[in-house]
Amino acid sequence: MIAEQIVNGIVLGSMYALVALGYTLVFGVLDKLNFALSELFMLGGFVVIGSVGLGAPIWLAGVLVLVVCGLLGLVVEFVSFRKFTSPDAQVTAALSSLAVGLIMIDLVQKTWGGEPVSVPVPIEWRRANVAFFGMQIQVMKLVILAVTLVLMAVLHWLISRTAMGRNIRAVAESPAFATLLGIDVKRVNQQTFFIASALAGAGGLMFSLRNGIASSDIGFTFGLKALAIMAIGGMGDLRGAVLGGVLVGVIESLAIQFGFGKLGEVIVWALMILVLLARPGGLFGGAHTTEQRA
Amino acid sequence: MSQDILFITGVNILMAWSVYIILLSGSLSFANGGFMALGAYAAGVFTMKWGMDFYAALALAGVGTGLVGALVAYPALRTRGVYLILVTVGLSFIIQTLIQNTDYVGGVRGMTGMTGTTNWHVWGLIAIVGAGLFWLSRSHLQRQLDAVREDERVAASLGIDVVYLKVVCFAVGAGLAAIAGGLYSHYMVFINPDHFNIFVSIYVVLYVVLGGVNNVFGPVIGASVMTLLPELVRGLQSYRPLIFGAVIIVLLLVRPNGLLSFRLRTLGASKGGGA
Amino acid sequence: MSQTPLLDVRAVTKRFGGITAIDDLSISLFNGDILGLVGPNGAGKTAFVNCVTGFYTLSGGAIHFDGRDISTLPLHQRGRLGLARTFQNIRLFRRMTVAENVACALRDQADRPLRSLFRFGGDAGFVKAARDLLERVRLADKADQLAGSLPYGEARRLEIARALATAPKLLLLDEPTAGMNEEETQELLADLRGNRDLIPSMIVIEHDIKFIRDVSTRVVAMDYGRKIAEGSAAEVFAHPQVVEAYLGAGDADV
Repeated sequence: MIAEQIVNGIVLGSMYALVALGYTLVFGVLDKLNFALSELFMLGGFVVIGSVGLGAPIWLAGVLVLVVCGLLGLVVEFVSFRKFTSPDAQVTAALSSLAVGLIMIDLVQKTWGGEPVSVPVPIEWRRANVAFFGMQIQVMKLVILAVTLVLMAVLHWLISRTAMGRNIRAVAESPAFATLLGIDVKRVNQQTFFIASALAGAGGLMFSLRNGIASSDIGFTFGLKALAIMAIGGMGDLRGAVLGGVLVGVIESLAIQFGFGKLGEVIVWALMILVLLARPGGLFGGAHTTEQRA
Repeated sequence: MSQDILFITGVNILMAWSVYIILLSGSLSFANGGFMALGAYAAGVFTMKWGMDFYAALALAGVGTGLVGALVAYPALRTRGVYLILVTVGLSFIIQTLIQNTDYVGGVRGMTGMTGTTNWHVWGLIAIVGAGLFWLSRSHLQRQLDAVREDERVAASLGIDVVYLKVVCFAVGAGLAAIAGGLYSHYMVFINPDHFNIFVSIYVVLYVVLGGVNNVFGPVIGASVMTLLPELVRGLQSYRPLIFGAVIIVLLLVRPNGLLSFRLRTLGASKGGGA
Repeated sequence: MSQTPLLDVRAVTKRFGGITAIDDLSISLFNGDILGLVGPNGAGKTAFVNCVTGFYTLSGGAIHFDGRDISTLPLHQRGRLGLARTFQNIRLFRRMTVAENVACALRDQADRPLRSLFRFGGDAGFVKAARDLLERVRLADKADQLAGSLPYGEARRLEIARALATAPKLLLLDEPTAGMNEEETQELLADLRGNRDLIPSMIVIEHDIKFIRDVSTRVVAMDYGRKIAEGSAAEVFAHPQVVEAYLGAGDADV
């Protein structure tokens, strides 16, 4: 049913949106791409597996995902971005974060092997359905949607209502100006990376819960799509990242519904390319003023 | 050294050069795995389904993909740096997905039956391309390309046709990747879309970054080291991505232009001053 | 002297969002002129150069050069038609050598981009021509140094030599003496005069009024994107609007 697929699409899109928000945060504040976020997405599921394996209850495992991925994000910031502060170093930082991502994949494969690993989800979670406007929807999907909405709300609150958020917005506007205002840009960068990485990990956690398995290659297959979403929504535009995520999730789900299968992916990437060429501000009229044209 | 390892090293060198050629005009392309796929499949179709001669198939696959590369150059003209990376990444995914969905070439199951490549072909091509690139490095055109990489707008204001150069570099780079792909498919006999995923595009870029972006030998070193090292040091093989990643990270911090970072300069005696 | 202007800027306007950088500006320059362009900071002088050379697109009006309408021509075609420029903040190719900076701008007769690939002997001819040009600005002994290592004054001269390599009909210089002392300024003046054979016409943006007087055949003054005075140096600098624009309401030696 179409309506069901649209709901699926929204759920899928909200998970993508978390990662896209991560990318958008880093791009907005540092004007750089952090490719390691895709792998933090991948790690989300594995951290849960690891912590449950060590005996933690599932709610604690969820919190651990946020913390562990956030901390790893700090490592990424230090290794791949701390030294590369100039705009010219955009590509260098991106490549470095890419390399970090490769290392993460390898470490995961060394620990859990190359095959997908099942995530210990209580079976009732997957079975329970609820009737919703005439559709049968898995409770878990609604929970995922709820959790992602909560995370986005928390992010919104952090950005718009806290001092830290104010600092982040100032640096996103202009690091030079922010320094003049006495803001510790280095600290803000670290905070940004922590939040972005925690979000990406959360997205990956949801993703692996929904699928029941964690796999080491989803970083580059699904996680990179968050890049496309960020571009579609407008680079550096948080609201655009969310809307873009939902749009992409719905496109992919509908494509499957109508029998196009993986061609939904082609549509998404083609859409990204078109947006980058024709409407660099994003489909939703983003506000980030970056010199991307020649 | 086994024939297989020699072959793979050769293909990786050609692929690294394909990235290098596009990089000459200032664009970093993550689409070359996709170009390789186009060439591999096209050449396969030409020999298997159209009954073409091996060399003709390679040539046609190269030219055809070169035209695709020329088209890709146009978005490249309007995007820079990380934006171009995104566009070329997107292109890689698009190509891979399209192949997966095309039953004519076997879709996800792949295509089989291609033969004809020997190491002579690969290394013969390497000799030709290498000589050509070395010749280029001593020409006036190389100076103009260097200027384009330094500052595109200023180079254009001096009368250098930046658009034309970018299109040509994309076309030639794509064509070379395609021919490498064609040689690949006719050696491996069997190919499927997984052989040309985004990692291929990423790895060949990293070969150039590792070995050196400023001269023709760098990509050779990068490709050779990363292909041969795990083979020669048996225990390292399973650590290849780990070592590779770590080396790249350190290198980018210390020598961002790669191991062989000098430019081959013909005008002066001083060498190694440029980093 | 020819009747048609070499450069004919007709009612050109350039807007950025809400800001008008150039407002209905018309300037003519004839072959052989050295036009001094003066005005306070923000008057639109650099914007003018950017419009003429193609770094900015026009919001209105037209620009004719050597008989052709170049209003929508891309950068490199304007360069090939004979327009060359230097930059206020000196944009050299810093990681290339001094000689390469000049050589890359040279064009040979046939001048199709890939032609040089089929030339035997590498770029020897270009090297020689580059060194000759470097001689003219007294930089030949630094030919193999990295351009980024040059001190300010020499970097300026290199930029000029690079522009000369394109065999320009019109050279636009954007504040060439900025940051120079008296001696360096005189050297620059001598360099420009000494190379007139290679630069038939010039437009010079400057704040150094003495330099403008020495070098120009005509002067145009701008303020707020508009032309406020035109004529000889003496005429323009005596013009009340110019005096006020530059010096405010107070007295000063002009």
